Amino acid sequence: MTIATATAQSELVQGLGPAEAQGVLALGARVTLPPGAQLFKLGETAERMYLITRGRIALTLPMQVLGRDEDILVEERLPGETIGWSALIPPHRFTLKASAPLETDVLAFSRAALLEHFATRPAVGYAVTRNVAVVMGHRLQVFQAMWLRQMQQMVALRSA
Amino acid sequence: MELFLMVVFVSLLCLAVTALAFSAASSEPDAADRVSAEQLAEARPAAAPRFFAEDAVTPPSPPIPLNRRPPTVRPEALLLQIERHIRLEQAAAEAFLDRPTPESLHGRTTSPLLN
Repeated sequence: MTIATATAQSELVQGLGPAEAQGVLALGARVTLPPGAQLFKLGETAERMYLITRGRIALTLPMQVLGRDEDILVEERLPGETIGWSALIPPHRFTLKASAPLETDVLAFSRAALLEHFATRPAVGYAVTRNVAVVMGHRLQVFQAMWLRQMQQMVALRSA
Repeated sequence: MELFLMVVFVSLLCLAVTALAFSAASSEPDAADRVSAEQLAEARPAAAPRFFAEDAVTPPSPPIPLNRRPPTVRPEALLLQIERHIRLEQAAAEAFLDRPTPESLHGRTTSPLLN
């Protein structure tokens, strides 16, 4: 998958026509992250949303492992996928840490630019917001299932 | 009469000899004998290992709960196990979302943390 294809077929602009999709994607600023670079921190104010165009982004949460603070991989995102939707959803605070395990390119969309664009194109704003809702809903469902699986395993251990 | 007295004499003599032999056999050992017996007891190993009786006599130690066992894995290895566990659990959750059934929700993975 080429960068252009990954961008044009990205989940962020699903349901938009080519011109509308290009109008949204043109708002993004290309950023290259070197291996190990941090894109955003846990708890940081979310000013930008990101679309991955090349490489990979690891989303992590802190955890104590054998007395040490470790970043535990929670999700991994690939080209065409969106991260940082907290920029569009109040209270605009990142709930994960994002970093690039290898050299990675992203398009960074500022909240102000997106909202200004949507204000004059409500249909585009609706489509993009719905796409973001799909990403959020999917994560919720995956983690709901993961949580219940852990509960089941804990109950099995307790009753063993 | 002389023959009778001779038989009585011989009988008494045999009885006396038997009594002396019995008393000698049933008397306590002398001090030298006791010391050597004690030395032998000390020289014997206190608790010789026994193969099958050992397990039956020694009470089994209670099992240590999983969360109290001392760490036996290196942090790096444990981190890899956690990462693998999360990937497998996430894949299992995704499979459940593709086909939501009770069986797919609770299907077991090959996670090293669970097996």
